[in-house]
Amino acid sequence: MPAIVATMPGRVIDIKVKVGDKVEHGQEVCVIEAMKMQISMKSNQNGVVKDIKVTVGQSVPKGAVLIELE
Amino acid sequence: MSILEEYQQKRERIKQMGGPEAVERHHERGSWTARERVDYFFDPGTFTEVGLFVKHRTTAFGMDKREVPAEGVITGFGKVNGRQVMVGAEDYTTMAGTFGEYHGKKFSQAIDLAKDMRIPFVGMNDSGGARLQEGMDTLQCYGWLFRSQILASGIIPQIALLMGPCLGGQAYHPVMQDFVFQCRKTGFMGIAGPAFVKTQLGEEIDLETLSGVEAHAVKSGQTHVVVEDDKDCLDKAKELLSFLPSNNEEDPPRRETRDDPERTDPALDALVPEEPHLPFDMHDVIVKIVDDGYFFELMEDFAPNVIIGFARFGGRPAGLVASQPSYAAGAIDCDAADKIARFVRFCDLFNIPLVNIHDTPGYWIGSAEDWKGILRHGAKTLYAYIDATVPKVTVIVRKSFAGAYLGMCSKDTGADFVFAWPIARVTIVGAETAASVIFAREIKESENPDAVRAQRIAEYRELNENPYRGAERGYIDDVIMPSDTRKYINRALSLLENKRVVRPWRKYSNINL
Repeated sequence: MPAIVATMPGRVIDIKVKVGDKVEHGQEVCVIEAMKMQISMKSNQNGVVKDIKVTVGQSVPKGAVLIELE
Repeated sequence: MSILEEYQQKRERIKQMGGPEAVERHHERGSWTARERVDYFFDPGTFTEVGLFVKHRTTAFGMDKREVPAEGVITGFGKVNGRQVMVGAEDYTTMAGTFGEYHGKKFSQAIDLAKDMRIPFVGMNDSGGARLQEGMDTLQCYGWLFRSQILASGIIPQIALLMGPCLGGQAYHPVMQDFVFQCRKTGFMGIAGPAFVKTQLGEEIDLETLSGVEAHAVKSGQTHVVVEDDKDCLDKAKELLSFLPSNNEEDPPRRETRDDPERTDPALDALVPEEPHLPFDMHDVIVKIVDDGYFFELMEDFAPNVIIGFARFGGRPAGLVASQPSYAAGAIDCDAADKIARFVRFCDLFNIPLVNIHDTPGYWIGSAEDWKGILRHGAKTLYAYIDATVPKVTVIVRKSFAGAYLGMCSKDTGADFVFAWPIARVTIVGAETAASVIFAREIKESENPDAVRAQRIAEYRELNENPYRGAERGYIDDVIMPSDTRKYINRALSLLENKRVVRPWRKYSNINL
């Protein structure tokens, strides 16, 4: 299953998409904050959001699945 | 037939390598032959081959009847953009370029000669691995190779071009050179190939996944430059050589430039967001300050939270180390520390000045990095910078906090000059952390903890999150307009041209390897 994963550990501070949304390669889908920086997590492909695996405020490790696409 | 005709025939036969069919198969793979590579690499008409007639002496398993032209490796010297370079180019069309006693002997002697003549060595790897028919002799010749290259390390630049497979013990050879280039789709490197991995471990994995560019440019961090094909590989290797001196007693070659060393760039004044939590792409800063916007990046896809590579300032080659705030906050993790440290040590060995650009919140914290050994990995950058005696200029564009301020080269960890932009924040920790610790009790006991915390954070930030505390003590030499960055770097590097450092004798420092 194609998925967008966290490129750094940290706290999810914003989710920019909802289930059923179309996303394009390079589109910002969620923002993670860590080490005084807010980094956009971007989709690495075109697809449709099938499931959102995290909630705002949640801490995630590096590599955690944030969003599943189909 | 006269003796001369016989000689010419003999020579011609060896130069045919594995013969037309093997060459044809090699071309179908999308690769050039070793001779085509050597021809393209050197300035026309300058290559001199050494050891064309060398021949193995194995008799077992029918080897006594087997001719292996040039022993599967072309060695020799010639000029690349007018400068002498030594090459060892493996020939896959000849008994799969297998590494036997005399193949190894040619290879290691080429490195010895390069070292003794103080010229760079470039290896073109394309080999099916150890020549197993030769048993112990093959094993031994790996020893010669490793010994030759390690004794040459730090004396001459050594560059490995993975243009074909290089699997097994032999793969230590490219990894132990200074830079590894890997051809997409044809270059493979690994301690063992898929077949051996399957029989020993039961792991099923294909060659591309196990040993291709993704494996080493992204996962293992052992490939410095990914190239598309043989031509691209040789072009980029020549480009890299243009930044390097021929040996450790020379300065890197300076080039004429029309790009004014005093050039200012007003775009820099608005390029970096003042808010420390907003990312930007550090490449945008780099291309605006270096000569002609030209930056030769290394290890692009491994630990991208730091950027390393070569550029020129006023025509002088320099090694550039920069934070990348848009990936993992630009913080230094174990991989980033390894990436910085080996690069800094290479530049120091070959008299290449270092320019360091900070926007980093610190070394990565948390159990994952702490248990991976961030302290010992992070220590490598401290050792590398403090040990280095080449000119070092640091520019703090925004954040430079905590250990990373020291670990990316500050005044006392080796910088000859430190400049900071007015938006810089240089201090021990961020205001939130500091205020929460210093005023913990006051905040807790207050009637309105949030308001007190916010006020104390603001006070701490006002006092400490700026470039002036450092400048007042002289740890920052000047606070400069972002648009003037190139000018200040060039003035500093000009002054530092004759820098000499003498330190008490020791064998070497005990860097945390």
